[in-house]
Amino acid sequence: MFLSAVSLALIMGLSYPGEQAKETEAAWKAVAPSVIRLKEGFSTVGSAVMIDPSGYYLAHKSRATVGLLSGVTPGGITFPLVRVSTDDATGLVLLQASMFRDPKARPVRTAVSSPPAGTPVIVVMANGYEAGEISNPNRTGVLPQSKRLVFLTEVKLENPTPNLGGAPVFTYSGEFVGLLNANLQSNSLQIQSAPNPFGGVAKSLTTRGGIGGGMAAHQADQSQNYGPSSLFVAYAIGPELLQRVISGFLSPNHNVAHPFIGLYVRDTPRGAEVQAINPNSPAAASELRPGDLILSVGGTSISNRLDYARSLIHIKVGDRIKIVYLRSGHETSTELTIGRMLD
Amino acid sequence: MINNRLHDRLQQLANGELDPKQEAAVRAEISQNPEALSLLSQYTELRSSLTLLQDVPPDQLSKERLRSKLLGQALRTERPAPLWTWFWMPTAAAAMAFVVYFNRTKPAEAPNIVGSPSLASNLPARADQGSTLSKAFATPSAKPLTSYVAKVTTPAPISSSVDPSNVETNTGPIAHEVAVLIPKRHSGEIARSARRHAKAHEPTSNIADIPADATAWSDLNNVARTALNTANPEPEKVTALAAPVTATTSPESIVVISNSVDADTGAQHATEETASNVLVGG
Repeated sequence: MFLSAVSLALIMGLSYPGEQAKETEAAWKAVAPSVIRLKEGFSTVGSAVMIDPSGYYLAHKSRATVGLLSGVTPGGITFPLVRVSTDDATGLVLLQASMFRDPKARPVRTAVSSPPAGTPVIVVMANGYEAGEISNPNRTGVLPQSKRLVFLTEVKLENPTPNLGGAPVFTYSGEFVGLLNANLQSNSLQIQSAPNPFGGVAKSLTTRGGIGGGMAAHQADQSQNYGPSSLFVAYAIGPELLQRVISGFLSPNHNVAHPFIGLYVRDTPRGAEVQAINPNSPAAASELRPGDLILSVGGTSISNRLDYARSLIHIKVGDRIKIVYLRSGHETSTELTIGRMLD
Repeated sequence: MINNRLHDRLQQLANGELDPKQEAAVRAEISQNPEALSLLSQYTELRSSLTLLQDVPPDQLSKERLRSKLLGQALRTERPAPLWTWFWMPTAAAAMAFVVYFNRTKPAEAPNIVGSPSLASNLPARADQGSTLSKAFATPSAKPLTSYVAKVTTPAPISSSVDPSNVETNTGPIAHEVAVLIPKRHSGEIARSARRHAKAHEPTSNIADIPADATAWSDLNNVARTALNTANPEPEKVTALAAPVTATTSPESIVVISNSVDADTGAQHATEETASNVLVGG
């Protein structure tokens, strides 16, 4: 009898939502009108967010692998979606609901800048939502196509899920942070570990990314790694890039204009040296040649290729930038117009 | 010839239930009766054999005693369980639910990001700016709390002989990070640790020497003042800092997103690579 009473009490206590769970649920209710579930046939494959009241939705290409999808509103109404455009640089796709308007739906409010580290977020997956936290608002990363340095928003989750790819991320205030493009692989645990403050647990294996993936691979590293066993790290493109993609998608031709120079440099003992120039690029049209030593870009001094990559983060298509370089011991400069990257 | 009365007497005699007078009378009665003597012998043997059975209750060795025992138990009234035994069960259950609930809803001690495995990934952006603290956090052997103090005080001893401009360059971001990341619940420990460190570095550790009007020192001032002013006196010099935290300067890492898709999550693969191994440009 006593054990039954205790069990009942424990079940009630554990099932009673805490303050954080209430806040998460409230946050979800606030953003739910902007989110739809994506279906391929009868399968729910992910979610998308409304970016324009005329029926345009943003999703990740991993969640929209076929041309014709269905969207399901929070109220359960199913409607067809057509894939209108794809931005290969970011992996984002534009979907349009041309035959249906959800009167209750409203477009997302995209964050102007990355929320600070520690900001709680909700991650909306096909089968629900999870609470997470922004662990680094300005993580530098490289996208597969362009090789350009971009800012990524790093999100950590305690409960990984199979439907993480392309999941929209919102702050508790309802701002749209982005779609989770990628998750960190376990076998990339090259980062140094730190002592674990979570509950004072002495040691446990840290897997950053991958649901249990790479666990065995890290057995040997167990003595070096600390932390909870299922910490999960995922990335969304930063707000600046996200804004560019959304504005490009909502332009008349639905294409995103990413800036492009076509100039690649390498580190040498002398500094950042031009390694290659794309033939059909603004750099090719300038006087720059392989072997030139880049001294500054747009007034920012360059000492290595990372400096060079950083100097290009905020440029826009059509901008004019001045590049100062050294060739045969003579310092000279050239100006070029930032072009548009072709997919 | 054995009648019922004699049969009962024989059983009582074998069981030792007759007084000496009755026993003598019975024995005299059966002295000339071989059949009765044989039966008495059997009963006596049976009685002695029964006593060898360890698990036979003494009550069962005699039907009178057994009958008496059964009647005694049957007539005894069952006493109902007192009500108080039922009262404390829901009380205890409610108390347990109370404890569970308040443990669950207790706000997390902020910031829980201190020393978290993802802390190192939080910091490269600051590491870009030259902070070495992030690397210190990332050292597996580093103890976070003492490390913070060590990183605050070691690069810039609290001394009037320190050039503030140099401190601004090297320790400003570090002090700021410490101010942000130290959990409140450890403030006492940090204060004590700061005091130990200050003691160990006498006479340079004097809070009055900090140029309070120098904006470059603002962050460092905040941390150092908070730590030293709240420190409890501890006369002994602690040598725990003899093993210094190594401020490693690991190469900057960049997140590289590939086109391949994680089979588990459906998201693209991301790896952390050393910047020197990544082709960047555009």
